[in-house]
Amino acid sequence: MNAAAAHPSPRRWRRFAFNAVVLLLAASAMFWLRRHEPSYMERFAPIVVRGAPGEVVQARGLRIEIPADSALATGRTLVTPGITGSAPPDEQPSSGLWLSVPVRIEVTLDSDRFKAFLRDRAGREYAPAPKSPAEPGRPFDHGGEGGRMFESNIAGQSLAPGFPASGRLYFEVPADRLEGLHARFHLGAVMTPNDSLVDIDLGIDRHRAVALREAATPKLRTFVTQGGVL
Amino acid sequence: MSAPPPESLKQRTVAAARGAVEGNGYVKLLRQRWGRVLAAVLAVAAAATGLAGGFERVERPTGIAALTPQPAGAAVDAGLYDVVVQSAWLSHKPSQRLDYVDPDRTTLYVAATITWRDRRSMPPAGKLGQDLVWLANAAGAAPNPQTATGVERVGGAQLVLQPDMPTQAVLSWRLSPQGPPAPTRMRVAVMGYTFSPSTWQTPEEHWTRAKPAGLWEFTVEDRRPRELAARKAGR
Repeated sequence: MNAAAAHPSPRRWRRFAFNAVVLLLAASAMFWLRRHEPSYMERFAPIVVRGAPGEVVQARGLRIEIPADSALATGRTLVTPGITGSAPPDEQPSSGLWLSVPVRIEVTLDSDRFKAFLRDRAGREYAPAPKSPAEPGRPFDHGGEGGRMFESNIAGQSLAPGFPASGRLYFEVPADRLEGLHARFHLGAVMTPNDSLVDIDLGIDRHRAVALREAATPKLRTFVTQGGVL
Repeated sequence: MSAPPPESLKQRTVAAARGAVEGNGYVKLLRQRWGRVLAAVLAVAAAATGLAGGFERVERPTGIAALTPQPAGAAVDAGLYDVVVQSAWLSHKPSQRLDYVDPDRTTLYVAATITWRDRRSMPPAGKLGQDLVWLANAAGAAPNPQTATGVERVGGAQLVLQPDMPTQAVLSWRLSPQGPPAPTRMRVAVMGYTFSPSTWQTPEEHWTRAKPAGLWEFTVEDRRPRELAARKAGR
């Protein structure tokens, strides 16, 4: 073995140092990229489409309007159709308030259901009362009131393109959390990552919250009856 | 009958099967003495687990007997819920939403107020409660927990809990005509639950029953005679 092989030349040392630095730089770059990569939330978060009452909000596959001319309504007990046409209506008393929100909604791509909920300032979410299974126009005869019954609740209703649905959603919310409520909507039973999430500020400020609390009716009915034969 | 020809299909199949058995790892294991001991120990452990109720624990909650019974109206912290069991009654009504009375049928209704405390997501509609409250049998008897057969909101309709809002629910159990007579004092246990947050991030909701969180003991009101009297009066 000669002396050159036993003692690496300065050139080999330089190459080794260069490789080591490149390796360290690459590792640092990978570490930096890993630390700064978008989180799961950032990559797959829904695309929030904001709107206000009176505006037609257009999102992917969904067009929604909370009509400005239809007022929000409140009640202390929600009255929904009974199990049969002659059974008494179901009464659901609330420890808070029932808030009735008018909605006009249309799907624009495929037939689908929609999901809606209210979100308060603290991030709590409130599901709407489920739609009763009563079919439109079911004969109704109870408590001296007769006719045919029409349910206004459209929660979870199946929608088809070209057939907009108008109705109301009934939310049970704590009486002291009306202020700053937002209504949120998305297509399907489950929120799809990166899909549109419509967020409409209901425009309830402190004064309006007080007015809604004071205007709460003892019983808020989700259905109307109309006399006569269809 | 003539013998099968050499290298027939039957012979090849038998040879292949014999080879597979010879080469099987478990068979080799059982040929060893320590392998047979290990297999026997495992078999005994499996049988003992089953006999001790290890399989049963998957289906039914344990630990109810260790809880101290409370009177009706006492609140219990059940993890994601605050629960107050208020009253119970026996009824001939199949549903609280119907006026229909069936004398051949007895249903036990338990009224409870449930306050959902999860702040991050909407509760799953309709799923909650079937096994939230359990019958723990008559006072003094061994617990025989049974999951509820029905859950409704007081006044009818589907039970949907909203965050931080106390909601009155009615859970019902259909009592078997062949079973023991309905007790006058009843014990009811409430399960504690853990819950993985349900957001758009994790659409799958995972409810995990943890352990019994509270036990109530109270008198069961028998409304059946009154219902039958009202039915007769209505005829």
